[in-house]
Amino acid sequence: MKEMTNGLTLPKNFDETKVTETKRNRLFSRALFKESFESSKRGLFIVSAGNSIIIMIIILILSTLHVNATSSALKDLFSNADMETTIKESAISLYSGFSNLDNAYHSYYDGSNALETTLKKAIDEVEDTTLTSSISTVQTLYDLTYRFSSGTEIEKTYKAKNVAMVTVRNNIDSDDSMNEEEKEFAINVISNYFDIYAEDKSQSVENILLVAIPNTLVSMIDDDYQLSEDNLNALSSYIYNAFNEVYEEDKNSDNVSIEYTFKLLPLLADSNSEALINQITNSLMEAYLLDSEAYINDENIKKTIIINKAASYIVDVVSETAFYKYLPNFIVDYQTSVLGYPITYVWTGEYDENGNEYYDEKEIYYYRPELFIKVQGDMGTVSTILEKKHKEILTGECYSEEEIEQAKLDSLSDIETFKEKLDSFALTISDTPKEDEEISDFASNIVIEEIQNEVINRFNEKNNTNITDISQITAENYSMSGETIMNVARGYVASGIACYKALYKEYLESGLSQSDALEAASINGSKGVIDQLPGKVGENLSEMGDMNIYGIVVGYIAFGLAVLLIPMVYTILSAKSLVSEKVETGSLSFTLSTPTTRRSFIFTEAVFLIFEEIFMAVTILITSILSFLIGILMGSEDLLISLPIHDILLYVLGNFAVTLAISGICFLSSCIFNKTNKAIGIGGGINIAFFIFSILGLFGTNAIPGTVRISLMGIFNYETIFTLFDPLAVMDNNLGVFFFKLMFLFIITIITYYVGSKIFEKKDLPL
Amino acid sequence: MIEINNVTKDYKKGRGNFNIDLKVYEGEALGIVGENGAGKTTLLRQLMGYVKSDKGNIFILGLDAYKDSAKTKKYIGYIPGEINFPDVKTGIIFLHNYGDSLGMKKEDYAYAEEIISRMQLDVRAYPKRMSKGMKQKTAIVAALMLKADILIMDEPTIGLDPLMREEFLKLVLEQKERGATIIYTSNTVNELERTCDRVVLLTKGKIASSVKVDDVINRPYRDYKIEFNNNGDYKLFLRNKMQIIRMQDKYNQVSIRIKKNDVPILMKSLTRYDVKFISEIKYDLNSYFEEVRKGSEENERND
Repeated sequence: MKEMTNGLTLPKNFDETKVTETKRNRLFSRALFKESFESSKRGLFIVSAGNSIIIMIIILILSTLHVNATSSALKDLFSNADMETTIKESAISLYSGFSNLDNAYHSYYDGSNALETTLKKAIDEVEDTTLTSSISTVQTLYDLTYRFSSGTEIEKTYKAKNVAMVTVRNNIDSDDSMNEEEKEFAINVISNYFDIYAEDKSQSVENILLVAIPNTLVSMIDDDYQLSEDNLNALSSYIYNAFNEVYEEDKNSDNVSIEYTFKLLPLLADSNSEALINQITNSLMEAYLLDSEAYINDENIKKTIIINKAASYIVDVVSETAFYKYLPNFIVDYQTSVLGYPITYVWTGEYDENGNEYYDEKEIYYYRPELFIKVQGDMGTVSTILEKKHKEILTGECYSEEEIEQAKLDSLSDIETFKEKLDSFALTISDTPKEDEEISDFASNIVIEEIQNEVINRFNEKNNTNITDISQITAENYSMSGETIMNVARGYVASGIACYKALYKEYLESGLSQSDALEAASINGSKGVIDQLPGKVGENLSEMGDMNIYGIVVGYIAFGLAVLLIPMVYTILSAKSLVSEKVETGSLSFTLSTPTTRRSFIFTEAVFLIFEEIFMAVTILITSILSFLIGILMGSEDLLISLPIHDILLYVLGNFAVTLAISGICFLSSCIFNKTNKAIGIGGGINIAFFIFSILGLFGTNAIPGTVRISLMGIFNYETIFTLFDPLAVMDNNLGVFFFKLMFLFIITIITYYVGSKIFEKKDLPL
Repeated sequence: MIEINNVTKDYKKGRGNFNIDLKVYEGEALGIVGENGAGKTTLLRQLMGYVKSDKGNIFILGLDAYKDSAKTKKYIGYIPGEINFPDVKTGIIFLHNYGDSLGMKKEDYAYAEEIISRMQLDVRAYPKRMSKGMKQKTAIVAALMLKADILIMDEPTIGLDPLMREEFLKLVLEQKERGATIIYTSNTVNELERTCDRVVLLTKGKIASSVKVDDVINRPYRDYKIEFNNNGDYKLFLRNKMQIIRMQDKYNQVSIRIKKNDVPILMKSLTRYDVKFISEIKYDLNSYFEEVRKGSEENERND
């Protein structure tokens, strides 16, 4: 008998090595594990088989579908919508560019020539002997009438001028060498002449004409252009100087008329054409100063300069706004004007015939969203280029410097292409202004040719062929025949240009400036049918096209819910059986009346519970892969594209992580409570609540298309750990997010198992 | 062998046990008796390390019963009060699993077989569906088959029929003979009287009395109840010097206590009276604890 340190005696057969052996006992008890397995194996196999059948049925059903064809058709709709807008934009920008270039050229060329000719002719008329002699003749008649008339000085002068002017009109009207304008000019000059002559009869005819002709010119131009006082003064001064230079400084009238045309034209330009006219005039002036003889003798120099300058001006104008197309879109939830400004309504202080207050529509040029008129039903539209221009007013935010820089870079190639097309059009400009139809055809042909090349290229890329003729594309070998595609494209081009013209006219009539009308008509005329849908409708339809039905059904419905439910119920019951039930019934007393430590018991039970989850996951993985392969053998191409094998692996992993976390929560509850009803109630209750929340939250996830999504339901996703398994991240190939969320499930698992074990080791057991 | 030092486990509302101080020596059989809720099972749970004492400590073979609980189990055979088995197919599988985890070898099961046979246990039955008696027998086999140095039994005869109860008591006595230290709780004092060396009465979680069985059964005096045929003899008898326990004048009955050695003298003297009957008042542990309980109740009333 051994003596213990505390005075007690040990039995004769007390074997210390056994005690040490017990101490060394591994945490894991194979016997316990075997016992748990024996009692659970039937349930485990049934649950695994049930789950396998569910997932197999789901995958096989999916493999019989051809959802991708529908989805692809929907995508095509949007791709066509984009194409429609692109084609219209392209056609409108070419048409308006060509049209403006042709107009600009002819307006400037014809206008400057006319002014130059008029000026020269007016100058030359001072020396025109026919005019001088006829004036001298009429002047004699004026003198005779004045001398023999009675009355006051004014009356005599009036009678004399009347008699003289009747004679002048008769002479000029019968002169067939003059056109109507020249006749009017001559009459005005002579009328002016006699006004000056009446003041001072001692001056020579030439001297009087040197004042009368410029006077007449100025007043005629003013009648035509309604000049401002400053411009009128400048015009008078330029015209008098031109005459002076010819007659006093003895300069060549040809040169003077050209030089003064350069000075006069900018004065006559309106605000729309002022910049262009200044640019062209300056270039022409440079060319003239460089070599005036060549300039006068070679008309092509002038033509080329005008065309080039006008083309480059148009390119500059387009470049200024081209990058807006490439800036990020945003949803505009306010009513906006055609120029993209938000609209408000202001009471005019007046009432209509029914006594209602009469409101006036006003554009808002500053950011005050509370004044904006909301779009009905909160269904905004995607911002147009014009709205992008006014982003700050609409949203209170500007585009960043980086976004603007990037958009400018992105737009460079568009501008370059546009410039090339404009240059090629410039070569066709002739002395006769082009008909609108001719310009329209020119723009259409370019666009149609490009579309044809693009369609052929796409077809060749897709089918790895090398066709060159659009007619080789048929409805059988492509989604539509080449002819149909081109007919659709022609329709887009024609309707785009027609719409642009109609809108441009309408906007001009509504009082918009030429440039504003042009810009607004270009943008609004290129809108496709889908573009005109409210933003959310378009967005939802687009989402339906992008929707991965296989991912939603397998990822969310199958792995996220369906094949989670049975393991969850099984796990709740298993965790209860493994711990709390053994405490409640007292069967644990036999286990703990052996040298098995509590730690060893609870560790083994935890390992067994995790083993069950692994077993179920492996079973489901094998079944999923088998079902996938069967689906492929059945000829489902969609499975390969929308449910690739690596997605299945990730879904199984996500499902496994959730079941592990479920088991952790149930295990913790089972360790805390000695009563099975509490262990199931709390552990199972929490998990069932999570499950219900994740069903409800599913309706708020982004994977569900907007048409059926209830965004507010998404709030439930924040109240369940099940959503830490994120099938959408798998579908979007966003694996970083997927694994990051999954990590939390593993952390929950580790914490719950650890805390549960510790609680069990310390607590009192009513055995 | 087992040392219980001032142990308290307070479950509140008077439940649990309080300041239990007890030593159980090697080879000693200690009975624990007490009403339901007196703290018997709690004390056994403390011994088995299932419950941590609020105060005090328990040493079994020098090992802390709570901290070194698993180490002590190699030397303990335990019959729990509530018997439920792990989910195994048959009783024999349970017994084998149980024996395996206790480190029993194949040859060690001979004794188990003997007990199975003596207890008439059908080991092929599914433990979860066993009757209360069958469960109890299986638990008895499990606890005894190891021939453990210490046996801790919580009301082990519940559910056993009288024959099996007898057989069980024989088994316990055999265990005792081979030197096992036994702790045995029961509400049937008679069982404790037959098997235990010492019996402790727990009342409201406290040790109300601790008594050696021998001291009760082999006490040095006897009690007798005597009834006389007439009142004259009755009154005449009362004139003798003796310890009277109880008198019933109406029936001419008197109960007396005399020394064991004085019994012949009493018998001889009674021949002088007209005695209707004489009977010895049997005295056992039950009577003893009955007296203790009455005494403590009186004390409580007086307090």
